[in-house]
Amino acid sequence: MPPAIETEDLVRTFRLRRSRQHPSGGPVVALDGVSLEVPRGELFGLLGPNGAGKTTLIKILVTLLLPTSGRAAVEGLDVRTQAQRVRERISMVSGGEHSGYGLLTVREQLWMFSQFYGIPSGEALARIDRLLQVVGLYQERHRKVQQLSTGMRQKMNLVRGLLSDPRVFFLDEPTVGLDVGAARDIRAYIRTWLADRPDRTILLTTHYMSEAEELCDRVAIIHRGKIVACDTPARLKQAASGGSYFLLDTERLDGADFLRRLPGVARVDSVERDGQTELRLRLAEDGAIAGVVAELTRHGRRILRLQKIEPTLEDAFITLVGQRLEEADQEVIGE
Amino acid sequence: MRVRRVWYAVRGRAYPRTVGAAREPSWIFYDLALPILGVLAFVFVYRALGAPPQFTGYVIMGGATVAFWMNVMWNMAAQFYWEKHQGNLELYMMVPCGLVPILLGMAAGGMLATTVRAAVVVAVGVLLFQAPLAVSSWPLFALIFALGLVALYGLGMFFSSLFLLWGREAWHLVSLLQEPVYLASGFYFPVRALGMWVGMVASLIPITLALDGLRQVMFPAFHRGLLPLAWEVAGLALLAVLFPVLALRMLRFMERLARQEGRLSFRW
Amino acid sequence: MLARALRTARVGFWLGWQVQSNWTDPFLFFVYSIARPLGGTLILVFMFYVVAGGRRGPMLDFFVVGAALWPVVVWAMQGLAWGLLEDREHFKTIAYIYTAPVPFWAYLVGRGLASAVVALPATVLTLTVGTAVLRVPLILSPDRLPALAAAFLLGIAGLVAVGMTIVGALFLISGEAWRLPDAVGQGLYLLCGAVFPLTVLPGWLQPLTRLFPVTYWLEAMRRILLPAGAVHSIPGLGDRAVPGALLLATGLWVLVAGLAYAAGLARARQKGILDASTGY
Repeated sequence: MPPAIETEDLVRTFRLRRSRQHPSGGPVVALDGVSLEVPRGELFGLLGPNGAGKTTLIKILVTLLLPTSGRAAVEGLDVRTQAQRVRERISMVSGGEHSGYGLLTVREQLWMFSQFYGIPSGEALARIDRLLQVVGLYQERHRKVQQLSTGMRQKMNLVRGLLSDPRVFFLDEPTVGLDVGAARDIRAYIRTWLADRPDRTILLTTHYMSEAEELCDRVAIIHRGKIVACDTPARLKQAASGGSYFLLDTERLDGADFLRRLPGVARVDSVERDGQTELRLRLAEDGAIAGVVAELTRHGRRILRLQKIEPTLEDAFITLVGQRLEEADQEVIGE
Repeated sequence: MRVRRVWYAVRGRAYPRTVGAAREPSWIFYDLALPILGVLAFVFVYRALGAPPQFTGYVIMGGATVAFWMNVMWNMAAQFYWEKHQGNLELYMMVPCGLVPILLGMAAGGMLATTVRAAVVVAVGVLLFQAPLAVSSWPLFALIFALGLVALYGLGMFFSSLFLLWGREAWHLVSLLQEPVYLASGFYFPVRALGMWVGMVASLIPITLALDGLRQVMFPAFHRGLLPLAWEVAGLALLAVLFPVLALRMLRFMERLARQEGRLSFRW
Repeated sequence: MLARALRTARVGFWLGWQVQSNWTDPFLFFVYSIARPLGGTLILVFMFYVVAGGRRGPMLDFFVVGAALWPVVVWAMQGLAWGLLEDREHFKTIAYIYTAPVPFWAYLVGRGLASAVVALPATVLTLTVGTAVLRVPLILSPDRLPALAAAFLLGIAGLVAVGMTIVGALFLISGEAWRLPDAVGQGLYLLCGAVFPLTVLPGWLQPLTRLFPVTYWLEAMRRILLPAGAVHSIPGLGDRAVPGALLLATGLWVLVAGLAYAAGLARARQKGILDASTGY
């Protein structure tokens, strides 16, 4: 049986128009030889900063975009030549989606989409009501779409995506812009849906580390159009486990460069919070912490908290990509 | 099975348009009262020129025809422009029913307002201005009307394919095809006045032959048609086949091109 | 406050120009600004020739001047309305512009003026074709230029006032809002003597035609551009009285616009629909 998703040396470039910002025009490489295989039944995560190529990859897989070269298939069906058959098996929900018709009610909006999948009205309405109850939107079923809050709208979008009972479900940053409660509800339902249907597959893109860690069976880290690593969250964290990780809170520092020069200090990330500085340290070995404490004391700073921690997915990301997710985002914006 | 799926998709997409019309009743004002004004202006132009009453009939027919042209161009052809901006186009591209039933649903949904608009224009023309609209042969009238409608909606589907690829440029192209089409197709005067060759080229727009044919049926003694009526009916029949076929090919081609160039959405 | 309003209007003008003239294909822009107005003019020309049997006449001059000026009427008036609608429905920036410390009305005026400028090539071309091909006897002598400029500017002020009145209504309408500017344009086309003398209208409509600054503007422009003996839309109004009527009508509409704008905006804020958009 073919895998749910398969890509082979997938490349996608975009030609930019010549402008003041891009005087030479020239292609932008959004995907640079991506090869992936996602078996059926997996919840597969794609983690990366903005502009890494996550959405481009999804759009190719859902037949909205053609690859420049390479191959992509969904359940063995080529997205280039068998697009119509692919569409019968998939659906997609994006984060921050504002699609839909404001004057329709939730139920009407969903019914309309069910018709595009050829679902008889009676069956469609029954499915809609059942799904709305599961996501906690049943009471709002007669409310007009334009009156929904962002969280409610995203729940409605999720129901839309599930109406056709897709074999492969694509979620493109589904919780972006949602409050904590709504995001949690959506993640919970995604887990439940897949648990009830072990033959279905989900591909989830996100740039929330915790979301990838919580939900995904395997995670691929994508950066600048390339897959830099692909494994379970636990094994990815192990890859970052060379060295020791410490959390250290101290009195306010004006920059942490002096710590970076110390022997045994591989990386220092600092965050100012409530008049204090929180340092996240990656050291070559446990003993290097003594040098850090001594240097801080020499600078007249009291140590408020010191804790050894296990590496996280973010640490794995930094190890593999060389910078934090936020820094990688900023780099793309700067370009 | 396939026919049922197409029917479901058509009715699904027609639904927001028909329900929307009921929930936003202002269309009654815009599609009943106000379209009359533009028509009236041309009636008064002919009155200022001291034209015979049949010219009032030309204006009334032209005004009714505008309703169909606008429905095809704005509610069908240009709709993908709005859908792209709303984010719906991506969703439509991913559904298995394809784009054609969705387009037909859009057109069908807008048909109610269009028909009402055309009917009101005709009613006002006859009641207020005594426009001499008398049909000499109803079967012929119905045939020309039906063929013209099929050809016209085929043309609309053809244009809608442009919006898969283009954005604002295609919107402006459709916007451009108002007054120049009203001129070339002889909406408000006999198209024969433009000369035979211009008229023949303009006949590629189904409305030209449809309008001229309908005028021959309604003013047999007064109106000099561009071509003999039988030829115009044959021409319309040809267009009624040609445009839908072209549209289907164009939609497939443009979809492929849009997927290649990444123009179906604004985010990569 | 005036300085701030002018600065804001300038920004609105700049943005309106970017939006209106930002065509991927400049040729399309040129065709769109020229072909549609010229198409409208030629419809009238052919209507004339079909009835007149190919002979010239003063009604042809009336058509050409009215049709040439009409794009300015439509674009200036609709420019404000479209500015609001685009920012609300399409670009979704209205909340950010409105909450900035600038007079929002000035921003819209700037958008409207940009639209009016975009319409000018169409006007110039139509008059040029009218003179060169249709032999319309336009008069552009130096002694008439001050009157022409004054009438033109006063007319623009009147159009902006009408546009702002529409904006007041648009604050409260969604869904079909985009059709209101077009609808008002159609109404004015019938009632302002754009393409036929107002004497042709039924008697009971005549008083209504006198309410709009556009009526007097079109009449003033015709009387300045065309020689004596041209067809007058309001034959009972002397040449000297037309500018006065234009000034009075414009002043009244500026007041109406101010009230409509303020009332519409207040109500929209009360209902929380200033930035609401719908679409079907």
